[in-house]
Amino acid sequence: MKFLVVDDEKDVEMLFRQKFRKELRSGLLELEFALSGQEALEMLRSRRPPDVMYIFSDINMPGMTGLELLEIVKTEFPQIKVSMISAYGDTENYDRAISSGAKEFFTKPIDFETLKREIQMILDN
Amino acid sequence: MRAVLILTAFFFSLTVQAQSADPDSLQILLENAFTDSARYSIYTKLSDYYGNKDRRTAYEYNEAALKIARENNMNLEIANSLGRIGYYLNKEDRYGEAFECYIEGIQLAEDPDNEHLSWTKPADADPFQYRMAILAWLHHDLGLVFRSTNNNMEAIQQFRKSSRYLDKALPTSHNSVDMNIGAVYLDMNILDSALYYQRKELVHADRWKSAALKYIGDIHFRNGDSDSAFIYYHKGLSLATDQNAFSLKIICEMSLGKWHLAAENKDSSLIYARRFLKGIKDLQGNPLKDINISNAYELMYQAYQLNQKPDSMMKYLQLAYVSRDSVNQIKIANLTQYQNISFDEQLRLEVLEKEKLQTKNRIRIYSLLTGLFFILIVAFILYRNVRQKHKANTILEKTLSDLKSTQTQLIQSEKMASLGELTAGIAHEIQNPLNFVNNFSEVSSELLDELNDELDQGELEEAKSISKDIKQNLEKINHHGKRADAIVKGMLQHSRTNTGQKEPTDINALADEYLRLSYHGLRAKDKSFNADFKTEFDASLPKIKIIPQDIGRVMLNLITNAFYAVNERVKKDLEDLAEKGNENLEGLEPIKPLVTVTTKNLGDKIEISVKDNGSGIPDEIKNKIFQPFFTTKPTGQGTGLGLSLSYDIVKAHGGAFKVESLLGEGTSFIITLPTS
Repeated sequence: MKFLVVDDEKDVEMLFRQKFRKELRSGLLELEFALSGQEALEMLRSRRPPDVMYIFSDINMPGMTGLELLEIVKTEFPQIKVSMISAYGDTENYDRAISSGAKEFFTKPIDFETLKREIQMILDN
Repeated sequence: MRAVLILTAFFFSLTVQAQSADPDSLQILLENAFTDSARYSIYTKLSDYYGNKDRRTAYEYNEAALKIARENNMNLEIANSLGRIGYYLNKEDRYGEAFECYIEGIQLAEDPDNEHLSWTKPADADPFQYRMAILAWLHHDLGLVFRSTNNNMEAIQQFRKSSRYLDKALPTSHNSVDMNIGAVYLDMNILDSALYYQRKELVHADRWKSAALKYIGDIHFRNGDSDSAFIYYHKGLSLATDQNAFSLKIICEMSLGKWHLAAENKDSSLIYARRFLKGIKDLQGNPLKDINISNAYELMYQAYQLNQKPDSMMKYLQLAYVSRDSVNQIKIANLTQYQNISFDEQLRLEVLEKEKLQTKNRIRIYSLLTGLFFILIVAFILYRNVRQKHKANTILEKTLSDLKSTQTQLIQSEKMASLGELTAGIAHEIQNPLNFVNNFSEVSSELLDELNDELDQGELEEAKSISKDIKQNLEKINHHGKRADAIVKGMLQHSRTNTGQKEPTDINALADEYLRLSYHGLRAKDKSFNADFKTEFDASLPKIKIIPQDIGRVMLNLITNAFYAVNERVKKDLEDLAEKGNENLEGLEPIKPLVTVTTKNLGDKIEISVKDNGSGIPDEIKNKIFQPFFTTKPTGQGTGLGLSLSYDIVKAHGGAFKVESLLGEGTSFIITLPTS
């Protein structure tokens, strides 16, 4: 199962790859990374139907924000689940994310245990 | 020979009209008179009767009248009698006494209050006009005294005064001022004026007409017009004869005698000389002052000389000498007395003058004191003004220093405001590296466990791979730790009040840092905010010596402004679209907000530009944007000091600050900084 992580911080990729080292090695989990919403959309549109099942996206990014990305993804690819990860866990961002169809809302710093549980849950289904 | 002729008859009395009153009947009246006023009147009439006939008697009657007037304090009557007495004294060449009488009389008559101290009732005559008439007469006769004592100018002055008073006196009042003034001018050989006054005399009265005619003859004679002189002398003579004015007749005969003498008419000169001599001898109580028997003898002598009669000639010469001597002796004695008196008068006048001077001085001192007082007031007012100004100055200085400190505070608060803008960005910026530090250290710890497991199992390859990862992680931890460190340092630098040191700085890194800080700061503050940014950095840019936190502040300011501008543009575009309603919304999207930071190496300088695609700056405010406190942001959102401070910072670095803006297209702020 393919997950896409969207964050403008490049090191996020390395962190994720190490954190899900075992899962990745076992082949249960595949990770893709994009540094912006634009890049993520291009990635999704390049493969039809998209092989990504789940997107974790940062909200604060230059250019397209995570929330904008969420809206576009939800209209273009309604089957893809999207969860937001943001340093700004205020209700405004949260409400908007949820009403736009976000599955979960994670706050930074990322608690990888909850993230792993979420992923495990998806994988189990 | 100086022919001074003074022909003042009496001031024609107001109280006495009947000059021809019989002395005997007057004596009877006097015996029956009960009142002082009646007796005064009768005494005056008696003096008039004797007049020139018996000067002595006339004088005594006047003395009696004066005594009565003095006893009753009838001041105008006193003045009147004094004038009459003066007249007789002058006739007898007693100039000093006459002078005193006139001065006293004038002093009394000058006082308007004395109009009430008079027996002359308003029913008889207007009191004012009566007083004026007395004054006119007294000045006239005083003029005669001056005339007799050769004080011609004073004489004319007195005659003029008399003339002025005469205008205010009774219409019937008249004296011989014009004739007398004319006579004085003739004496002074000012013939034009002399002729003018004699003609004036001819016009307004006939009482002195014959005298005036004689004088006009004299003037012509002096001018060498002997024909006209002859005619006027004869006119005068016939008029005097007609008027029974004997004294005037005699004078005209004297003049004709002299005329014939000059014309060398032997017989005629002798005839007129004889007539003149006879007339003088016949004249009782000679009213002709200064013309006396000696003049007649002299003329006789000259006539006989012309006729070449040595015996008679010698006889009259001797007579002339004798008579002249006696006349002159009396005259000289009298003149001495007069001079003494007039000297006293002069002393009195000097005292008066001194008093006047003292009064003047006093007035001067008072006015000086008043002036000084006003100057003091003005000085006081000026002093107060200066003090008030000084006070105002102190207040102004205080206000100025208050303003300065306020300005310093504002600059500081601008710094704090930009720091506030930064804080959110910084929080975000620090949060990220901290997350990495935490996460990488956690995962490293996990990896170490794994590494141990692998080592236990003897999987050395796997263990090596894990240790490589751990090393990478440690590098990442170090990297993000440093990143956080740099951010904190930058923040500290930014908030520092004192100016930092210039140090070689990588402008690209600085621009990037502040771009990110600004972006995240704005994102943190305004959730709806979003904009794209782009950097076009010139890699060949050398490090230049600048104060990093100052130029950093400029960058932050420009970038924040640029983001603000694009954000406003988007809001405006969305509003415009909303206004247009739902029609044709497709294709009409708001602009894509973009901020581009560019650096360029220009050799001796570098260029940094911050470009936005906002609404642009209207021309009318383009020259205001660098002014302190100018802001387009809503109240409370901007200090208005950002660009002003930025401008100062760039100037302080020896750089240039330029703005290019197109409405609807966007704005570029371009900074150039020297590389050395």
